[in-house]
Amino acid sequence: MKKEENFTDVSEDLKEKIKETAEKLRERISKRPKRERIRTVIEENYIGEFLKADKLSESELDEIKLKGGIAGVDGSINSIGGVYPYLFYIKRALGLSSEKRREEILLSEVDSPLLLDDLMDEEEYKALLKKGLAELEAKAAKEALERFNPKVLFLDGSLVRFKIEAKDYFEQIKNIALNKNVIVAGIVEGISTSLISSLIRELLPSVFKYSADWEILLGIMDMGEYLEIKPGLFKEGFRTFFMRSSIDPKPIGVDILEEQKEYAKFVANLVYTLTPENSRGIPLWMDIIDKRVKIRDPFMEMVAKSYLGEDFMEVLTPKREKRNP
Amino acid sequence: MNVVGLTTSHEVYIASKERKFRMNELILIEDPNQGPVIGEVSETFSYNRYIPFSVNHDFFDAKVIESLKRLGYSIDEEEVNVAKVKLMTETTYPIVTGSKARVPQFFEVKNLLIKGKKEEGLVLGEIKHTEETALTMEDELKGLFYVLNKGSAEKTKGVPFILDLRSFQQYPHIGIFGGSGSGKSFGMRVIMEELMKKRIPSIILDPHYEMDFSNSSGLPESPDFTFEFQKFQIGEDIGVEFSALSARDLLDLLSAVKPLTEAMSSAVEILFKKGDTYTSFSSRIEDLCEGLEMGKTKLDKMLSVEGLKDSEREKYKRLRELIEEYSNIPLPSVQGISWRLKRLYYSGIFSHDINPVVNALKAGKLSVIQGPIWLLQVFATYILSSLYRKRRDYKDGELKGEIGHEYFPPFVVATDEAHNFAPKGYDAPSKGIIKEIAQEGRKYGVFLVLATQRPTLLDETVTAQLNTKIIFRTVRGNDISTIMEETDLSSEEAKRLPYLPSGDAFVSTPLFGRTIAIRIRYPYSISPHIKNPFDELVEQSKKEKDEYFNLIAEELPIYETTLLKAAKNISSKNPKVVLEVNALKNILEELVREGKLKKEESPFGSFYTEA
Repeated sequence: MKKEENFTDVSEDLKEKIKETAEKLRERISKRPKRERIRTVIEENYIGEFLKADKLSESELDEIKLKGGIAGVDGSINSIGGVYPYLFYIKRALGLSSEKRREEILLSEVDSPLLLDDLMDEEEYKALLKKGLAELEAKAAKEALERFNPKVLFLDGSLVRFKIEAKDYFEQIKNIALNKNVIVAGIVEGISTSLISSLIRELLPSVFKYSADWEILLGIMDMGEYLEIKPGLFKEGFRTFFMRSSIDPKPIGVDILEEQKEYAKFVANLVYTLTPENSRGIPLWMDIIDKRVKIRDPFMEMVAKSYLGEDFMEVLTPKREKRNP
Repeated sequence: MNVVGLTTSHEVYIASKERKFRMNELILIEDPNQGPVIGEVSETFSYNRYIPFSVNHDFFDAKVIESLKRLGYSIDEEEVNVAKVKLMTETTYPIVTGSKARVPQFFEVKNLLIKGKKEEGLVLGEIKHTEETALTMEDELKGLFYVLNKGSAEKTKGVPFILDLRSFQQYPHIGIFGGSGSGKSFGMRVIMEELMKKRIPSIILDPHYEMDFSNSSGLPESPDFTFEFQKFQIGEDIGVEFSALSARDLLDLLSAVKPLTEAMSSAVEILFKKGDTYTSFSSRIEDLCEGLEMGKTKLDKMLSVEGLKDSEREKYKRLRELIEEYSNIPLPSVQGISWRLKRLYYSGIFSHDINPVVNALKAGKLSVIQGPIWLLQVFATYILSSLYRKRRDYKDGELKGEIGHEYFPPFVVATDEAHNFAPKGYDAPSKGIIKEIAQEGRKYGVFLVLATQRPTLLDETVTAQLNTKIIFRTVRGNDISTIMEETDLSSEEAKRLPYLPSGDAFVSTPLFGRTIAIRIRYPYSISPHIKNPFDELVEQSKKEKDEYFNLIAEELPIYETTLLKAAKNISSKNPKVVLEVNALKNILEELVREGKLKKEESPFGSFYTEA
């Protein structure tokens, strides 16, 4: 009985606090400038241009198919074991072509911090891991370009990420793509940039001074509409647009190479065509690859158990996981 | 194919990307530790991880899926097929996940599929979804019969389902359940054909007049059954021997015409004397009727009249004695008995006996007993009791070592609408004998094949004795629950019952120890009345219209002003036709609508002429 009393005590207190915070946040929403106002400010200040994407027709899709179809690359990380550094990481990158007869490209790497000569701290290792995954994905992307010869190659995440994390591979990707005239596009699900607010800070209400781009753009575009950012403002060497590709009011981000800027409208159209209307805005194609590359935990555990051996798993598994539910 | 997920020692899941699973398929699982294990598919699923269940979910956008297909990537091909497989026998340990699975070769599952030789059993149809396994089957079991596939009869590619006749000794009776149009009648027909092929003496009660086997269904190599069965009409070919009737039999017969009142029943019991012939009994009834109508006083008066003829005096005396003897029987009762008896008499039932059926049975033929349902029920009681008694007497005599009992063969009794003959909850004349055969027929080699669309209405004792049950499509909930109680059908199978295609059935038999899904073979013969009544209507109305058209054609052109004359002409020329003006106008308009005639305008008004 005592436990329950405690529970209600806490929840009363918590309720109040949540209420307060929620009210403050609601205030934030109420201070949001009107949709038209934001659009005007963006256009008048030469940040970008609102354009409308169209769904591709069947003949346009056929043309893409004739030129090699589309390809996509995505990666995943799973870990087995316990508390850092007592664990294994499995990195995987998958390249898939819309041409069924082409075999998929699946690269994997297994790492463990225990194998390092000098132990590094967790944050540092995580960063290394991230870089490793980007490299693996870039490697898969390079192979995809070479083997699949697609018309369009979609990558998961911003192209800048590859440029930074996997510089060598990225240069190679870029060269091959430009040589073979393959359009490369990065699809960004979670936009973390704050370009717009940094450019028009003085024109925004104070609470929005540091808003992320997605917050500024939330709900101000119609479905199929995209904001193409003017060159030079952002991500050197790339063209970027933010797009509302489905009913979800939160936009996604799309990067293409500066050299392929004339394809911006084409890529927008393709992304819009391949994105289910009721979805969160990511092209189905990228979701398919994402689903394939991810390893579900029970499967992972099975693999680990059979290859590492039960005894070794026992060493890795933390006590807390043996806790009764 | 591989075993996936959590396994138990009696059930596993098997997944395959390439192969689709079918219900009731046999699958062989190669467990690395326990060797090959056979299972049966009890549920099938297929799923596509890119097209999730929820409609509100991300991916449900047909246009996008279509666009991707256009680009060469078809999501449909990402389908994964999963089957729930019930193991035939429980294993010691759960099956190893990841074990390989495959379609078994015939020899690996032969003992699960074939019980008995085709020469010694009823070949009823094919076991569903055994085509792959049947590829490795002995040639002599291949293509034994035809099955209906999408409307046309094709040679079977599956493993045959054989019901071993020898097993009847142990599991004697068959129940056939299924709604109308479920294929139940076909099932009954196939069983009868098989019995004829094996020359098993059989008798079938045929209230629907459909059990005729002389019309071929058009299959090549169909056997000729013309001489293997005989039809008997009650009252025309066969009947009851009045002198062999007991009071009980007579009561049943009379109440079949119309239920008897209590008073009537006791009157019959009093009036009927053992060894009565129809004449002796019916004249007793008639005399009593007349006597009671006249009354004691009038009879006495008549007897005292002078100069009465001897024969008349005799008669009045007889009547007087009768009403004296049966003074407590009321006149209405006697009258009631009288008209019932007459109705039976005019049906011809007392002018024949059952010897033709006895002879047919002895000759190993199928006897088809036809008659109106009201008569069939009582007659069935009579004939089944008689035949059963003959067989029982012979067998009992044999057991006791007595010689001299006339040989009477074992036989099969079949009927559709069995719930009328052995209903649950109330009494029917035939219930007793059917119950008796159900309970102890095995001992004497008398077997039942009972079909009904309402198993719930069938007497429970009888249902419980039906060892082998063939279950066709059943829609009614309470019938399904009855079936579930009486068989080893799983709830998954029961759920499929309302959706079984016509001709598909589950067979639940102790011989196989599990439920088998079968497709009944296509019969060699067809029912005489298979024509659709609506086709008949259409044909008939076309015929009539053509006739009218011919009559009218002679009078054309017909002006609206001369309709009366035309009608008179037609009627006078054809004595059978009486046509008045309005009717003629209606027919003309109808023919115009059909484009056979046309209506044109003229200065003298509109007229009808040939189109």
